[in-house]
Amino acid sequence: MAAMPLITIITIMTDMALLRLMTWLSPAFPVGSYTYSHGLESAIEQGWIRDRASLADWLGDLLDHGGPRNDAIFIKAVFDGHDIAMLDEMACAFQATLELRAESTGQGRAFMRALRQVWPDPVFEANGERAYPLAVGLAARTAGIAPRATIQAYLNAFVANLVSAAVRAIPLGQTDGLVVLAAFEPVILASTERILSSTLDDLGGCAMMNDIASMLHETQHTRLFRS
Amino acid sequence: MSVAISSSERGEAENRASILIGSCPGAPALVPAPVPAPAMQRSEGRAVIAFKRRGPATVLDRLRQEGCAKIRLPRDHGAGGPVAVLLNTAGGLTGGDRFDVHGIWAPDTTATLTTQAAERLYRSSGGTARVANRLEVGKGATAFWLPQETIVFDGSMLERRFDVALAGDARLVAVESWVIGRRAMGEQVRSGGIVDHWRIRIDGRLVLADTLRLSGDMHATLQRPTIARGRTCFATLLLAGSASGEATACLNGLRNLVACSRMDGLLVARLLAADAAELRTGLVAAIRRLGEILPGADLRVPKVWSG
Repeated sequence: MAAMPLITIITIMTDMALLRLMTWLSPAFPVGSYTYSHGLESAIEQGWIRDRASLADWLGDLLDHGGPRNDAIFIKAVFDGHDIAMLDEMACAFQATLELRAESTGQGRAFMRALRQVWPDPVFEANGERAYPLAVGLAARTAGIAPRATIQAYLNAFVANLVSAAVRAIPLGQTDGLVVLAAFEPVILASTERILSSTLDDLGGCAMMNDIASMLHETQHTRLFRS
Repeated sequence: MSVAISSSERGEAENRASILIGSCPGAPALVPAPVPAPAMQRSEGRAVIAFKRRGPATVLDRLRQEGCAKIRLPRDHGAGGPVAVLLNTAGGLTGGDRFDVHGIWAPDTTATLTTQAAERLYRSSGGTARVANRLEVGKGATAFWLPQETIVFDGSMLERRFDVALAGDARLVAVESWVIGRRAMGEQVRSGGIVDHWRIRIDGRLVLADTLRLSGDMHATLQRPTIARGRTCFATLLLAGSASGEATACLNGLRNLVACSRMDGLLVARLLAADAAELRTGLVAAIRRLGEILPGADLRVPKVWSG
């Protein structure tokens, strides 16, 4: 009997969590995510990504060995209660190129600004500028959203953003983009489960070609994206 | 000079050890009790080297060598300061080995640390080799960390740390290069795991954290498009602590040689190559170019690299 009210409370929080997650990680949320491609634009320019299959390969590697995996570990670390300033220094230091750093800090800054203006909370006042995954993690934790849902939504938004970038830059049909997004549903769920048992000791990776793509993007002549 | 033993010699040593312990290949297993792990011949090495100023020159301050770690300090160095050469007299690393190096640059010194030969990382029969390289670089000092490549054999396990503390106006040029299976020998690394943590701090602030993490079928992973597109040799070249104008000049000078980026007083370059020789050629060209650009540093490719 004692469990009943608890379940009810969790259900209510989950409904609110879902709404906030959808808002915060929507492409319309004003962090400018559509202006970043995480090096993808350069990989397309180099001919490394040409179609639906090569796009899916690239994204799959990133989730397994690249930036979004580290981002998700940082989100988990926020929920684990690590010091945010320490995490912020690390999250920035883990970006090995100028544009990947700018992508993370730029979106994080905009995200925190929007939160302070619309969902004011002392936690957001105390955290002016944070790397993007930390900003998302802080917001979610403060709103009582579960780490699992937060990481699922974050990774899904990351993949959706790059699929959208690819649709514009390759170009690729809208339906092809959706097919990739759908194919990543189980991948994102599985990645999230692995991240949920991770710690900061698991940070790292080997997505060297992504770093190189990001480096080459700095001198790319025709660019739609800032990264 | 080098007393490295070959991988086959080392393998024989391990076989002898297991024979002494009493494993008997052809005998029926009468007792299904768990077999105790063979006593490993684990090597340990520890070296501390400190540099100080004497007049206009950088000289050795102190040196400590323990176990399989040795340091040679050839006398014929020029304006670029001493070049200290690290040796692992165990001839390589395998599971359970430990190797620690601590380098200290006093203010306004310039010195290079390199290695006598490529570090060989052999198949582990239990445990992980642990290496900790720690550098402290004082005000106005310049540290060149230019070890030769790490050659990874199938089944090897390594966790390595590279922790650097730079004073505000200290400078670092560092390289770390990997050969994941020697192509010329037909080697492919299909199992094992390597983790290499770089943590670079300037005045206590973490400015670069880079952790290489490769495990399992590394050869297959390196075929992946976002990883290495089939190249099995790679390196990271880092310049840290330079004034921004200098870092920009380095960036512009390196760009037509290697992929690189500049941020927060850092210059990071990533190199990929099909084999060790191609990687070496690329690194030598990049280091020489940096040497041409960095004012007053006299950065040179260590002579032992071609020895």
